Amino acid sequence: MHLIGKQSRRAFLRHSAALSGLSLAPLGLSLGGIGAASAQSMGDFKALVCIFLNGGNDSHNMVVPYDDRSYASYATNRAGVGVAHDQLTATTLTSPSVRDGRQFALHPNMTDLKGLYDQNKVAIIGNTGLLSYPVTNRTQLQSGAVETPLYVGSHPDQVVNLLSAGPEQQNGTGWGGRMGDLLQSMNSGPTSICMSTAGSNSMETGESVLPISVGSDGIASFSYLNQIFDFGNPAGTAAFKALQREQPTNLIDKEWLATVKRSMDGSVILSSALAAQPAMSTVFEGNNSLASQLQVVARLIAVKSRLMQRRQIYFVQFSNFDHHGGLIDDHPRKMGQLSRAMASFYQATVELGVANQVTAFTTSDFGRTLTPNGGGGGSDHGWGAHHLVMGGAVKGGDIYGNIPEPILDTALDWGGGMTIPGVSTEEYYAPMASWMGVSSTDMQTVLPNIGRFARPNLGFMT
Amino acid sequence: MKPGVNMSVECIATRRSEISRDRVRSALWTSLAASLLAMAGCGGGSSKSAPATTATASIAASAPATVAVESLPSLDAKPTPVEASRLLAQATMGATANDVSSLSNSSINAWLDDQFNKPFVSLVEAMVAADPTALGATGETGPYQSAQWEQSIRGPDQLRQRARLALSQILVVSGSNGALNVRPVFVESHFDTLGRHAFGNYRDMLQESILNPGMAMFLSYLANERDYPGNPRHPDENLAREVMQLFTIGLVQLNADGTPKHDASGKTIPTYDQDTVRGMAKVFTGWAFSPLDAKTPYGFSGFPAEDSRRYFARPLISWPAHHSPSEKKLLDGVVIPAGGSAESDMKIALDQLFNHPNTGPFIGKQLIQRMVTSNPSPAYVARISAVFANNGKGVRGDLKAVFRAILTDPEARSAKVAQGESFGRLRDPIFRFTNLARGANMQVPGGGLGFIPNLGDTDTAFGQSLMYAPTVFGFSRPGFAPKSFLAKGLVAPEMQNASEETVVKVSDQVGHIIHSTDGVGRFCCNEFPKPEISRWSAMADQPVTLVDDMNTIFTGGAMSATTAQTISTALLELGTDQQDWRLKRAQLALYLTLNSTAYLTQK
Repeated sequence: MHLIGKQSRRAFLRHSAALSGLSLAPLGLSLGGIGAASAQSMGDFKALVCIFLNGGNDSHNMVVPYDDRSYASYATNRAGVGVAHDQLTATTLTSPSVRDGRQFALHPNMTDLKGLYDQNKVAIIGNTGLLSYPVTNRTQLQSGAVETPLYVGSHPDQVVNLLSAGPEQQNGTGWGGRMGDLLQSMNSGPTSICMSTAGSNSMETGESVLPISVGSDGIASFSYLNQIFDFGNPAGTAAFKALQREQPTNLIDKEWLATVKRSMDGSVILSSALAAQPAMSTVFEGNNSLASQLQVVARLIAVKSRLMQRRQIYFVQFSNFDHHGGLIDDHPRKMGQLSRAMASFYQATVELGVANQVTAFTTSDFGRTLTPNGGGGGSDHGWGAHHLVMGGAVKGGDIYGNIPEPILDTALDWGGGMTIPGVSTEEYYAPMASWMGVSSTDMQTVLPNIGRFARPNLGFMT
Repeated sequence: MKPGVNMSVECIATRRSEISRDRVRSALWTSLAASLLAMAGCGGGSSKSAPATTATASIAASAPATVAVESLPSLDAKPTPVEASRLLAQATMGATANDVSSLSNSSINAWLDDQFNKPFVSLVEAMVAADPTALGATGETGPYQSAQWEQSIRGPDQLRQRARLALSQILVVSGSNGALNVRPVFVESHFDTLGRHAFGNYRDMLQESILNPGMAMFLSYLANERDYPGNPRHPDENLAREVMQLFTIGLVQLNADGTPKHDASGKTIPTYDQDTVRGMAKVFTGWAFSPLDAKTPYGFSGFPAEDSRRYFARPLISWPAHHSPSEKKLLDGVVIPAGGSAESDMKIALDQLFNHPNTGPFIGKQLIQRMVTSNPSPAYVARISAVFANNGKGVRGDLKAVFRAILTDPEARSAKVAQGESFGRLRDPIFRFTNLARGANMQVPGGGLGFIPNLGDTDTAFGQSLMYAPTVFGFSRPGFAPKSFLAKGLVAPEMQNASEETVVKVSDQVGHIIHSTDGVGRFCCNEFPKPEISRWSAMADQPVTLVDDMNTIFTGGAMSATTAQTISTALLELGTDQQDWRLKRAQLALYLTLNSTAYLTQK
């Protein structure tokens, strides 16, 4: 069997864009205004990119203790799955990351991000994660004095709660979507402010905003009938369109048709905007799923004027971080891919002249246990985790929040080095929401529980 | 009294009297009638294919008191072709014209009996027979994927194939895992496990799954080392979590009808805590490959490279020195005392999970969701839970009884319920392929399916393949709900994979496969099977008949009059000028049918 390869698919899409008279959709949508977009001031443009590390990234090996005392504890408690000390020299982070005599290094494969950290374009947020309320000692949770978040350690529940940062299970919205609700009016184009290269997610649905999923060339358009089946006879295409306009009573039918409508409406706009954009010179490495998704994001940022968007919120996903095994062989490879993909993305924003207007940040299901498991060189589901924020508007070259000592049975150890977070998810997101333009009075709409925490702004954004 | 209330009572009374001949089903109807009314309305429903027009209350209030009331046909009588097709959509990998015809001349009970008696066929044995001298666990995934498709699409044991696919979404082992992708024998042996026990007992399937080397690699407990005092290394918690969260009881305590229990403050009640996870992790230590008859001796964490493929399909064995001797905290205060063996500890733990009151509703509801409807009524779930608890002969976990109960339940069989706004399930991409493959008898020249590759990799438009879920959580979360569903308390798991991008890709892929009947295009080559559409080419001069035939086979009669007319009109408009106009009409009818909501939501 012969699937159309990437190259020919691109050519095919260009072809289909050229044949826009024949294409299916957009129903009742005018493209007339797009040319005028360049006249609009785009000086206020900002984009926020969520890089979701699906599975629970082991951040103990991403931000590694380096000073002798901390490293000795780390080596003891990682017991064979840690990074060797002499591998860390090149990625050791310089002052002001030194605190109380402690030093840290990025994973040895993250030399690109180490460079950006040195240029103050990357910040580290230490030990962040889901909390119901602030916790200073595990006894507060054990006694019930402070509510423990539900289902700590469960992938799907932590992902939903962490990405939604609020009552997702009640109303289905996520913090990106709620932020989109507030900011959507800054965009005059019809494309959703929330875009995803990874399909549905718990972050980007708002009360009114629905995210749109994009592929490598925008959104594919239904091509079988008008491109393959019969160029000459429009009967099939007309019937297909009629089927999409039906008014079924079944709710799944309705949801399907709504998705198809968003797809058809979005396809021509996104695909034609992308097709008209000259190629970037920034190179994203191949065989790197995250790099190719971030390249799509960079291209969509590049066409912000054609899309008439002054705010964009993106969700991209890098999968298979559930390292119950493979911490020694697979995780290092992923750290390198993450570093190179993020660095290329930063370079692309420089090329596009928007480096100070684009912020990317990582998040993940949870951190992992400090201690390894008895299976195959891995670690188990943890809680707090370290994360990265990158961009010209980030006050980088520093660590925000605390990175607990790599020792067991501390006041914040939930067992096996499963750390109770010191920075809540809300405290992590709020500075970025604020940077995007969410006012302090609106912050509670975006992050309903922000009022429970003392630090609405950790100060890592300019 | 409000007229609507009055009406409802009359409806219930009428229903009861009409079905009183069948005592068993009458008992079910008594409890079911109210929920049926709530779901589908009392009135309407005079025609087999007319969809429900509106929701319940207003219809019930305004409908005349003499409306026809549905009585479910006996499971021992001949079903209509549409009834047969609905069952086949729920119970097989896709209806065919022959199956519809054959079932509508038999009965649902007879069909089920026949299917339950079809023998299990092992894929690993076929693999070994094809190359008895092959050594090692590694190999190309492609041929095994193709062999799975062959069994699933062409196997005569269609109910087993469908049941296995549903079970494979609960007890997940996936070839998408890096280690398993290059060792397909382990995926195949789990595929066998699910098929072998599909009509057996869930307790047996659970244990055989856990002792399957593929599961052990997938969930990283192969050679899971015991804890040692003073050593920070702890037993792997991967299986410990998932055996509770996914394989048996779930995260929260459930009522028998699948709804969550709540504490005095209205919160759900967790089934276990981190201590249980750690205790359970100790239970599953000390299991690895059997050294006894391996060709080359090796240690606990070794991997026997040189051995026959049959060897790798064998269950793990315990290595006593590597099993945790500590005491192990299980659920609800149960503690396994120190010093138990790997076998005795596992028995205690699995017995507790299997016998937990959650397991019936937790597993039963998901099987309903994967086969019949995303949103079964609590009463439907409760009926399946009761069968899981006791098959009528005092046996718990009898899957044959569970599947029979799921498929013969009035809520599954009622054409009126099927017209309710929340009934049905979105067809996964896998079904969009297998339904076409079966319904249009796809084959290569000379017969057989030829070679069907993995359709689940990123670059292939279906994005889904058998035994190829992206993670241990399967293709989709059973609780996934689009925003518009949440407020109604409804879910649509399969919508999780229906994005603006994928709805187009899968649809186009279906088109390209249909188009391969032209002998050109993406699926041009002989190794990939083509649809056989001469049945519909022959009807091309009667578009209404043609569409009606497809409506019966593919949509179970769910097509609205509007949809049918849209399609048949398009066929007429294609004209008869082209030399291959019959083929074109058949192709277009098939593409439009398979892209109509009547089809896309299995109802």
